[in-house]
Amino acid sequence: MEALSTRAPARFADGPIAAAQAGDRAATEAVLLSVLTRVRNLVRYLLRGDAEVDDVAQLVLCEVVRSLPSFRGDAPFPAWVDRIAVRVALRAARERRTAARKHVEYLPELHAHARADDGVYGARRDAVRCLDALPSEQRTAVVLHHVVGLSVPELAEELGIPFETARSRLRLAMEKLRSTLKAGTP
Amino acid sequence: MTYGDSSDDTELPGALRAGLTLDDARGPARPLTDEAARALVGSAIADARAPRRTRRVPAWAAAAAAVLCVGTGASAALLYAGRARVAEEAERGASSGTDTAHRTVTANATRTTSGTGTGSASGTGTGPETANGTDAVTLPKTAHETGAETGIANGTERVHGVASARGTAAARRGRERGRARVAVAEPDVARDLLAQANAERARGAFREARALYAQAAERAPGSLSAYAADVAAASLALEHLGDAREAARLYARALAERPDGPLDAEARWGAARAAARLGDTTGERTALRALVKTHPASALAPRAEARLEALGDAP
Repeated sequence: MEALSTRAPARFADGPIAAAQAGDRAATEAVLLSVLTRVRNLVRYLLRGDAEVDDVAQLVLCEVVRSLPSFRGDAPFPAWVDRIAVRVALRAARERRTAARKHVEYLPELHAHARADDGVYGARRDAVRCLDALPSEQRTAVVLHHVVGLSVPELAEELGIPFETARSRLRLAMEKLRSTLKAGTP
Repeated sequence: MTYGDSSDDTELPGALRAGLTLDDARGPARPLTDEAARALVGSAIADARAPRRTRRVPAWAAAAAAVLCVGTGASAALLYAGRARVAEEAERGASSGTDTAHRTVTANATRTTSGTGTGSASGTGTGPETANGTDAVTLPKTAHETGAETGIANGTERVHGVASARGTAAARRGRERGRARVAVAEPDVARDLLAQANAERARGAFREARALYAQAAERAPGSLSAYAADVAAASLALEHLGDAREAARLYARALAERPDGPLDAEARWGAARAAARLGDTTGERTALRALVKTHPASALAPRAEARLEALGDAP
């Protein structure tokens, strides 16, 4: 198998992850595929719109590969990946906010057909449409708190903001979401 | 969900609770095809190996590349094209003396269906949706295999369609291996050139990438790699080099080479874009109409329809 890296041998005993940490490419692909859907979903929760989900997800997976040697099994692997996804997605969102946006009218899409009657999918699509109506800071707070599951103190630490600021963003976001729901999903 | 800080003003409205959950179920991200997923993963691995601060190849281009790279791409292309085209390729390979190479390439492709795309980009989109990306494909016997059977029966050997009664078995095997090595060289070279082109593109070296795409197309004309290189070069010309005319030419060539190729929808979409940039509204309409007619189920069809409507072209 093609070696992916020459870093230190794996210290984590879990089979596929250990093999990926050792540089086994097939294992690395399998591990990434196992978290890809989750990563893309989290990125979509964090970012407004569908256009950049896959590009940012790719950045996340790239960072996961680079960070694999540091995974010690202290947390479940998906949760560990979630933290990387949050960090990378928020950084990407900051960069995109400051960069001039290109006109992407003809951006091709790679998406399989999703049935309109898929209940879970539909509910989540509705939810992100509501999130899309929030300012970025409030959206981030909602996703980190209600999707990723960070406590408010953890949220504040993650974002580098005071506790009360974190609570305030959540509170304002909930007000906005309630009024959005009342008015009908955008 | 709260942790020791429950407060009504931060509680999620009930109507949103079901929609804000994180797991492996579908949504809210739009579902990805199996091929695109493997391409995205492959591209991420390739990016992880590349020096930091290089420009990445967009995920959509990586997915298109995975459709056409030897390995996952070749198997996907075979799936998309159907068994008839597999037979056509084998036939073409046999007549050109490269059937063993093709067999080797496609055999490798079917073994790697689970996902070994290089993740490098050489295209502009994905192939048409398929409900199942892992259907097995039975490859037809090559002319060599068929010839070997009849040759043995006739007391002669047939290698790549060439009758030969000379040599010992060992020498014969040596000649076969030699021919196989030579025969697989060109597709491999084209694939490598594609990978290099993608790497240059990722670095932002667009002119170097364009030259490499051109070389890939020249090294294996008529091949899937050449087709992918044309589509990739076209998108590069359009998006990064400001050369809509070149893009139009390359898209047209790709469409002519493979009217039902795995990137047909994307090539037609690109052709429409190029025409729009050139102010060729007629050409744009033609490309969009063809896309909608030929690929009504494609993810690009609704966009094409919307664009046609914007152009005043009622369905």
